Amino acid sequence: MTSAGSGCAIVIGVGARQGIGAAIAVRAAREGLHVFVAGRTASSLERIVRGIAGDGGTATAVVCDSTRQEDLEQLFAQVGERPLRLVVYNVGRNIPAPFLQSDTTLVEGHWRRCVLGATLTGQQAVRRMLAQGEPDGHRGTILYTGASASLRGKPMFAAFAAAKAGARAMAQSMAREFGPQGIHVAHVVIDGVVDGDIVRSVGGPLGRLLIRNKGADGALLPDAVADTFWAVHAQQRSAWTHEVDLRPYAEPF
Amino acid sequence: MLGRLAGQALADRRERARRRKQAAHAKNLPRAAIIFGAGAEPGIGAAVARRAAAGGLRVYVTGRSIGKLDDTVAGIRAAGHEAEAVIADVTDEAQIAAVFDRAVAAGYAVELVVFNVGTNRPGKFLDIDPVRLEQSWRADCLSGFRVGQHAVRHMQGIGGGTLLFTGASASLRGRAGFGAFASNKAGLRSLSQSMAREFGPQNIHVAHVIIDGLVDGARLRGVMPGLVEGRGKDGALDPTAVAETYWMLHRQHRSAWTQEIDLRPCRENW
Repeated sequence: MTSAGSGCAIVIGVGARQGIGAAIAVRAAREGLHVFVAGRTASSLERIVRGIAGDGGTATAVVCDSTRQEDLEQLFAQVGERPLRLVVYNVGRNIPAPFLQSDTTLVEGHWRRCVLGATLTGQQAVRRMLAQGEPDGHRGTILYTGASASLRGKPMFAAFAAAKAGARAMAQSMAREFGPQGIHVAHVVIDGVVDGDIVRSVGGPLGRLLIRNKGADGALLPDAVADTFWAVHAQQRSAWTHEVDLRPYAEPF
Repeated sequence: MLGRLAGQALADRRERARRRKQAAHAKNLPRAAIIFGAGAEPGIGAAVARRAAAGGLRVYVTGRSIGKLDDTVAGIRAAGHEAEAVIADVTDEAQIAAVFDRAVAAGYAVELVVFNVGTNRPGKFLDIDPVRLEQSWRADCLSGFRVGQHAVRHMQGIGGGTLLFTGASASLRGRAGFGAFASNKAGLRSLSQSMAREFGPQNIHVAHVIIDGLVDGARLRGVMPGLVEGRGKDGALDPTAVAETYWMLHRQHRSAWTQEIDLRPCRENW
């Protein structure tokens, strides 16, 4: 566990200030890692980097399209000689659509964000981690954010569920291949509404109402989610988690 | 009919009010944990007991053999924490009840209960003897219901708590020669899932930990000497590392609770 907090981390899929990606970035910085905060919107990333700096940590904003190989190469190149301890792939947003109206663009878009991006990110991360040392036999951790849809399809979720299930299977295959080489790959299934800016901004007052109707702690708080991401990263290698689910205590499931 | 419904509604309301009052009172009580199945040291039960004690809980360490329990308790006390050994056979409901009674009588609110019971006895399918099958089911699965019921009733009275079940690879799939164990463990897993869904909204966190590998504990070292060493460094689950995850689950914020989590050594072939 001594290695958990030195070196750097890459968190891909950071946007909302109140969101899972940002919460993990803040947590990793607080634990002493330099954090590369990657996402599509420069202004959002810079706001989070300023927040981390104000908190006494260090971070770099990197605008990046996680489905493009060149973007990911440039992102990982910024790590330089620093040991890369933690990579989080937190990409993939649910866009509900009826099955018969899921056109190729939509299906392919989900696949690119969920499966292709996860794979390309995983390859960059694994190559770099294999090339670096292994304090305590733990070269680094690669964490994927999953969803309820990673485990089951539902009406309106066909394309998203297929893509999330694909990403889950990719992560599981990676864990089996690279665990013995000291790379910890885990998949965190987020099974509920996140109390973050994305949901709060949905449909005028609708998102806010949805969260309020869930009651106190009825939606996942990003900081609480980040606690478990960090706990998985900090695990001693004789007892590593590959999959863990997270949902609010009162969630019907 | 309507009268009966109204009567039931009134009774429910009184029950909820009673629990709220109880829970408010329980807030000020010192906190405890009960670990069922803390026999062997080193082992998962003993390690979780140590972790919970270090986390500030008085730990009731229960199992079938007092000698082993005393060792664990002595270790915890030597570290400056509180523990007590209680002999309990989980196939006997009265003995389960007695452990809870003991904690309550001492003035404690039990906020963590760990069910770490279950013995893997492999055997060929055609050789499964119905009497022994039933015995193993009573010991490994039915006892989970009984412990679960006592834990829930107690936790309803104190406003919530955590109940953790130790699962195994066999909780998810049956392998040749493991039919009895796998069916017991699959049953226990389903129980934990049903309980989580029923009692999560009541602030009771029920989670299932799948131990998918060999545990570097006294049991395995006794039965198969040399096996752990053959796995290389960190090739078997270190009970102390396992306990860290149990404790993490207990400490999770209720907006993001885990129901199921797996644990295996990095080098495990799975």
